Amino acid sequence: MIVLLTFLAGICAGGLGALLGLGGGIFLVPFLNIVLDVPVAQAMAISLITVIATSNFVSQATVGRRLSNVRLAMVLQVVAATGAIAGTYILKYISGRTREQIFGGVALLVAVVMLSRLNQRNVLPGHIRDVGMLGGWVPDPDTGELAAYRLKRLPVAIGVAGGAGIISTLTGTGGGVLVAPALNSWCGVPMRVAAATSAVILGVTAIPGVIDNFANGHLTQPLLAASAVLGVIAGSRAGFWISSQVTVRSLKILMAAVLSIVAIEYLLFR
Amino acid sequence: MTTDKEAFSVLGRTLRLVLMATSATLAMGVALSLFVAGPAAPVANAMVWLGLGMLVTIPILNVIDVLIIECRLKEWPFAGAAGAVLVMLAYTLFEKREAIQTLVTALLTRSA
Repeated sequence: MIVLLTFLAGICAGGLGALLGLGGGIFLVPFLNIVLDVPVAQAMAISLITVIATSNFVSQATVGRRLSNVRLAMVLQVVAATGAIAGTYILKYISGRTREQIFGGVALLVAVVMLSRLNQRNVLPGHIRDVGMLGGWVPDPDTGELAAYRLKRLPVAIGVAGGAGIISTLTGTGGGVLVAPALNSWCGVPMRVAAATSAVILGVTAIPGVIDNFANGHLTQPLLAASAVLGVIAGSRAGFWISSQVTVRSLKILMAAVLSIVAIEYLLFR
Repeated sequence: MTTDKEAFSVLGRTLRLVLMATSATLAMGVALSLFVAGPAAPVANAMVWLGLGMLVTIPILNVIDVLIIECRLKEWPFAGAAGAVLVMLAYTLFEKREAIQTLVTALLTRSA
């Protein structure tokens, strides 16, 4: 039964991961911990594995490859991976409760940022050729046309990616909770591109955390991890389909709602 | 598409095959773990671990793919970024080599 429930939770996590670039951990960790009573350290370990699964799917699926900005992902991965490695050292000095509070605080902050920039679209007319080294073109389902975008405030993106790497290892959420909204709200990247690029970054960012969790004996339920991964792979496909059917404004509201619920849960009710 | 890199991808098809093989290995491992008992149980466990191991290698292969693409395009800053990511991952793997060795040994022992 627990394997089936984990599989179903994986579908939801994968859907949210592909849809919003969150990696899905923000949903999966509380579900495994609160509903299935899996210890938080083990839930985070399983969640990090599923973050890699979402990333793999986004990197390899046709829709994901079209939306993700691989060059931007690679630049930010350098910083994010450094943050993730730093996180493995910080992990030894931070209690489980503090990790939960960091998780909740960051989620709440990002929800507020998302809501404050609900109508920001970040897209330029598709005929614009000069998009800079890290900009690009992407099909815009809202208008049905090709749209261009330029990356703004690269230092902000780099800072956020570093922070996301640390958060990824500390909370098992993949750090997408920071990267996707920040790229969209502050760096001029359209929501769907930010989500896909964030998902690509998270796969690499999660690796140090996964290995560290295994080394520290937190990855003790491989069967649950495997069923969650299978669910995530199925859910990611659904997430991409939903993404093409809804408006960016709806995606942002959904993201802010998910983040707010999780933040309140972790800050007030644990 | 944000860049014209896809056309140059060398590992693209291989990566998609590895992803499919990973899903199949995990699915078989989970199914065997749930429905088969006795001597097959350690094999099922080993399959699950193998699938999880394969899953972790895909992002690494993806970065290697990007490195090859950027080198072919002579886009050295981006090739450097991909190379730096690989160096950091190699550092992590080296740091945790004992844990990885334990996992590999357990896999080989259980599936033998």
